Amino acid sequence: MRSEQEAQLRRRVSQLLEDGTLKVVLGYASGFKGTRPLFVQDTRHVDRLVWNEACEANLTGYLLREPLKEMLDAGNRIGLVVKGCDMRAVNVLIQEGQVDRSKIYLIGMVCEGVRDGSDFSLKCRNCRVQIPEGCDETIGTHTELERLEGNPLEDILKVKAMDLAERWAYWKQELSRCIKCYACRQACPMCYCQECITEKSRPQWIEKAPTLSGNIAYHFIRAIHLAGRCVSCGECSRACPMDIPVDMLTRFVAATIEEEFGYIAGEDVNAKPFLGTYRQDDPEDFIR
Amino acid sequence: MKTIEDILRLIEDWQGKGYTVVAPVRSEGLVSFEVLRAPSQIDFDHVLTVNTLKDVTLPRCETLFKYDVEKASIEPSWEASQPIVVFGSRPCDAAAVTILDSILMGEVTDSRYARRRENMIVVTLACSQADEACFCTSMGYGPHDPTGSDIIGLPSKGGYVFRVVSQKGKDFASKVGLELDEGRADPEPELKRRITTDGIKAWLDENFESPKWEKVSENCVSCGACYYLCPTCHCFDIADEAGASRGVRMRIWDCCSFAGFTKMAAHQPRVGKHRRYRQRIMHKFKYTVDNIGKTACVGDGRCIRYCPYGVDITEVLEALRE
Repeated sequence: MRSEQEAQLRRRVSQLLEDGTLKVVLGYASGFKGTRPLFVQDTRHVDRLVWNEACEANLTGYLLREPLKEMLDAGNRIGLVVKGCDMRAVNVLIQEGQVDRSKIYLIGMVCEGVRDGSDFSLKCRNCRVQIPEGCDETIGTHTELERLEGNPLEDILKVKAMDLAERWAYWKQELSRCIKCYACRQACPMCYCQECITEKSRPQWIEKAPTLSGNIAYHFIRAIHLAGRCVSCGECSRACPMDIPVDMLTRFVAATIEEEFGYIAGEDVNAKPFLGTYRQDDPEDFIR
Repeated sequence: MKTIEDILRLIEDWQGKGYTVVAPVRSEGLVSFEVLRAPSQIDFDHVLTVNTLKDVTLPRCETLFKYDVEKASIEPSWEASQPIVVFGSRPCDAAAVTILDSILMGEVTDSRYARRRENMIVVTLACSQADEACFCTSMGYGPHDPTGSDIIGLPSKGGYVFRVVSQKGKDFASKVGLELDEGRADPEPELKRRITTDGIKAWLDENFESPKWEKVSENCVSCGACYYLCPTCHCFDIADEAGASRGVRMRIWDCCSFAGFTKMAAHQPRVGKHRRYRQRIMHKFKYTVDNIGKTACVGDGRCIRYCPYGVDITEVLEALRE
């Protein structure tokens, strides 16, 4: 199915660029790590677009960064190749008023799973969005789809099963490797603050230095700031050059919110942001 | 020829003689330079460590001094001076040390860097393999190049033959009683990635402004992975980790990709990621060449290997010159 999808994707992108519907399409090309993002503006380059198991990255974050942000601000319409899971990120950005839905054209790819090296990505386990919803068009057939078994929270459960001392030792070891290159933040579609708390110097809220305490402060604040917003795409960990499973922190918060409140970020584009709503009959006093 | 077992015994001996040994250690999927606890930790099979010798010479953060405003006191902070043997660096990383030497111990001497360099012996293990990101030969080095090493071990029939490269290496060898080897080295591995740097400097001299900068930096998301893992990038920032009256002043790596890089109170001279990416290329392939006569790139390929979004410096250079 994938090669047919790839051919159709190229045909469609070519048409959409040619008839002026879109200014640019962001998709995947072959690259050193399997694939890498590709900006197609010229129909002569559509053959560089690929669709395969290595299309693991969530490209949604590019919508809020140069050069797409400037193009959107200038009123252009932009195409984005998305998987069902990436749609959750798009939805959160729409909910949060960051992206004007009418300015983006979503080309959804029916997905048989993507790989992180030789294994299927953790995010593909028990995937319920192999057929993307809410796109402008969908490429791929809905038959022959096989749901990948397993628990996407497998890694978190393993760490959760450790006793407190063990867990502390685990995170100490992982986070002490952090060099604060901020690849996780820059890769994250939800990390779009104009000025990240790590950059504030008056006052300087957290240690700038990549010491263990400075790293813990950064990653924990990031996890809290992503509460109800993290879509569990794993882009932060995919980007980390030091192999730190930083997404476990944000996915743990996401899993807790799902468990406690039944809220899944980005699942429904019409839902209100998790931390942006309240109920009159909330049982907790502090909210009223 | 020395076998791996011979080498492990040597390292144990050096540790016993009071040397701190820094060497590549594997931890799960990652191989990085670490202070060795035991010789058996050394990994001999990797292509290249994730971190560089900057972790020894120009660490990611260091305290410059402590201060107390109320007491009006400043206390400089120096780590204990100790002899360090870097064992098992690759030729590209050793070559990078010579570039940083020219910059940080050139016209102006960075005393912290200089002190660490003085105490550091570089014992390289030359490469018996290369991966698809390696391009040292394109930058004028090679898998067996001795530039920057004090002693180099060349792969030979499953072991290594050790040769002295510098006076420092010679002194170290005689001090620890390291016997040098006769015998021939294995042939150097072939590198698949090859570019020519001809014309790049000339293009950069003329094209500070060019629409190509936006094109080549399109994929960049302005993180610092390429910088932080680069063996020659050396920009840093000074920051205070301070309380109300007491604090420490630190030197921390900084990176030209970051939006706040060189941002001043009144002005940001590099608005837009393409201008910051241009800074990276200009710094490596023009400014450093103008200043010290060398390119600040050794072709180690880490920026290609670790860029989360496939920015490829060799491709960029070719696209610029094209």
